[in-house]
Amino acid sequence: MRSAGLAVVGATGLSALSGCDLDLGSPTPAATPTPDADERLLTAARAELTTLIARLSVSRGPVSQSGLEQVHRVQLAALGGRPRTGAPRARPLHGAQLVARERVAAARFTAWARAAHSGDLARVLAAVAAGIRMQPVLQGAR
Amino acid sequence: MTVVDELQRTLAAEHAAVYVYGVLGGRAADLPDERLRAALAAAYDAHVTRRDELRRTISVLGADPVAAEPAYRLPRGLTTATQVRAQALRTERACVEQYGALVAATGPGPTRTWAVTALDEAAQTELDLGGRPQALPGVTIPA
Repeated sequence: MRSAGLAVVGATGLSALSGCDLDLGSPTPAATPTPDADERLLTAARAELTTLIARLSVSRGPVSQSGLEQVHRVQLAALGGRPRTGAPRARPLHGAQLVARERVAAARFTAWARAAHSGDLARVLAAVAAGIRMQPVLQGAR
Repeated sequence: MTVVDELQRTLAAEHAAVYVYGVLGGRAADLPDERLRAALAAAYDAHVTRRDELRRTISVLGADPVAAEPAYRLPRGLTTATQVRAQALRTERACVEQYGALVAATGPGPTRTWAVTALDEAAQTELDLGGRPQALPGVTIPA
């Protein structure tokens, strides 16, 4: 069984993976992105989580909200990123706005998981998307 | 490992899941937990659908889909709702892991999309079975 650990999806690992996980068996293969596209995708994914962490950290809400911030920290670490320190003041997220923002994030991670050239990166991105959708804040809004 | 190999492993996991959920559904039929019974039935249907989709995909790719085993070993004592739920969760988690492996084995395209969707849906099924939310379902984080 394969496993992907914390920070295994570092930028330097992407090009090394690029030759072995093409979907040669797909009946209608999509256009193949370049490793550079994965680098951009990884940067965007880290930025998405960094922004969410920053906004959640200045939000006052139920306990589940602080748990959500911790979830995003774990997810960011798995992507080899670190939360911003000394970042400019972020806007808080509450209620329906929080739910909508998390839904957008989950949809973005799903799209990135489908598009990533690296299989290992795609696996972590898919796990982030599913992990966001598992959280109580979205379950309560199902 | 090729994409077809990983598809075959995923199909083998679906065969096992269909068998296990069939048994668990039978065991749960006499239990008063209606929510559990509904979750087991929904999970069974989902795995039957995915099994059939995988069979078709593997056939289209020119390979013979792996067959189900005659039976699968299950722990004794699956008589209470707690025991049935725990076994269902073990089964679903194993499938989530396998979908993650399939995601990793594929490039962008229909098979990757299928695996991403399956992972997401199975993670939701874990919740329906009483599982706890995870940050990264389908990814093993070393201690």
